[in-house]
Amino acid sequence: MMSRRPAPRAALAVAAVAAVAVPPLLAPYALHLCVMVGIFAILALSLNLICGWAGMISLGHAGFWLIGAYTTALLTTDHGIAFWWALPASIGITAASGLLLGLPSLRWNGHFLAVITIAFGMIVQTLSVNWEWLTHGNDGVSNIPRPVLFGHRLGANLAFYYLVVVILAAVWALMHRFIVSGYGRALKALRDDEVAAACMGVNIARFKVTAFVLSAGIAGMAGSLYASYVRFLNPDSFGLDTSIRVFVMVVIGGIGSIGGSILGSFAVYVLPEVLRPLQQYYYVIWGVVVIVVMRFLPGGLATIWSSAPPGRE
Amino acid sequence: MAATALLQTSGLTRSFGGLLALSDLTITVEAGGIQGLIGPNGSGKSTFINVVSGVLRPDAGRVTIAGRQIAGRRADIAARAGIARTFQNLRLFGGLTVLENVLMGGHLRLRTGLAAALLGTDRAREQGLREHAEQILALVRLTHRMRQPAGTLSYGEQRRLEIARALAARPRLLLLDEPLAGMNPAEMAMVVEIMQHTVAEGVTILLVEHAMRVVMAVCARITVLNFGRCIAAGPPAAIRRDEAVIRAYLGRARHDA
Repeated sequence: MMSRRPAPRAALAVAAVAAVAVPPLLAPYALHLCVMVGIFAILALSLNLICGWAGMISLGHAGFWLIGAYTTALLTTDHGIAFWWALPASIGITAASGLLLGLPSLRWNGHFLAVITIAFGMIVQTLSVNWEWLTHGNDGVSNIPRPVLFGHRLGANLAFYYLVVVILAAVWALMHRFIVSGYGRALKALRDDEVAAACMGVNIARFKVTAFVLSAGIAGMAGSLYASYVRFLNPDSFGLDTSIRVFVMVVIGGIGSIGGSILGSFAVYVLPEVLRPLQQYYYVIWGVVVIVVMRFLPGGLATIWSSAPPGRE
Repeated sequence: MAATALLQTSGLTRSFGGLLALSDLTITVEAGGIQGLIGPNGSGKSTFINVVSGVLRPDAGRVTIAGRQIAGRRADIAARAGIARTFQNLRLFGGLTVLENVLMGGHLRLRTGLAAALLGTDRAREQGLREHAEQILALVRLTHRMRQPAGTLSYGEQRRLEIARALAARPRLLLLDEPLAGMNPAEMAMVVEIMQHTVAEGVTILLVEHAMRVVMAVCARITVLNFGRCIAAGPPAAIRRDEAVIRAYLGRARHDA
């Protein structure tokens, strides 16, 4: 935490200014991409908490994302509850569902846990199709309202973009605090050696479950934002491919790096869009880009400024 | 005896498959000073350390530290009861810096709640812990390596860091599992000095070690294990002359099986 060479302050400042100043100048579609990058960055950060610091793999984060999104969607449409109440409800319900995955993480590690998380994601998606009384099944949920802030409906994508930026910044700040605290240190320690961490007094079970619950809560927050942004949900958006996409964002950006998750979301979300005109070649080029990044920057895009992988220092 | 028992085990038994690693073992460690625990390879020393520190559950028996029964409880509960340990095969947090490793040793003293961590109100404790960690690093002469990843240290440095991490817990009882293994004489002298400094601060040490000359020189009392049983206990001079001990170490035919 203290030896990491941070990205040059200048680069961070430029990125922050750009994140605020550029979007008003963008075409509608580019602005839409920016909002999605912000939402996915929050989702990627939630996954990074588990993968990067606690050393556990989850390939079921689309399941948490779904629970958060549907909670907000259903509360704001069928029950007429305001977004500002639906958001904390999404966080709370998704965090509670994190317990479901936190408990198996106590017994299984590595690829066993990864398979369990895949199953979790599939179960959640299947339920969202079949529990029609609750979720409207394949019809999905439509006409989800945008949030209203100080009497203004955030109907314009630009206004919504700034909401996402503010929440992303808050998540960044909280995660940073968490990671540099004794809690974060203990998570990194149990990633390196569970037995030794237990002998230092770390209650392994409590820490792992806490990590899963926090991660799920943040993913639920991303889901809530997604629902009220796109205003229409159906189960198709929350499959295994989405879980894997988020995982790739974390890895490409840098496992165990907060800024990396944001860079990774940008790269994984925007690059395919830029490459889309290439049509059939676009997957080939995208694949090559991923392999090249992993070969030359095994610590992810976040290590472009330093040589060692982040979080491992 | 006037001295009080800090650690008391009774009837401690643990087997691995058909192998009886600890057999009805009763050992007392008195408060203060260094007590030795020796025995041939496979005699159950490391199993004893693992059971006392909560890493392994015993099949039967009691472990009492300062009056608290902890046998079969988790390792973090043993740590809470005042037991710190090092590992024979080095279990440092390789991805953390040297300083962070020592700070982890003091994890329990931080008592960070999640809310305090997120709000940043735990900084005063963290600062106190850090000052103590820096003192310990000076003691084990690793100050210059403080900011480097623990995985990059030399073998001898890693052994010292293991001890430093355990000391950061301010334990009542420090279990050292072969802290001198593979060290040259200069490094050994350094570790002996660290142990003596630690004892002077009121920590009790249980030392598992094969370097007999050091064990005989620093321990007030020595317990000898063989095949999971205690075959002798007493001051170094008596242990050196003990028939059963000589037989166990020289491997003469055993008649007492």
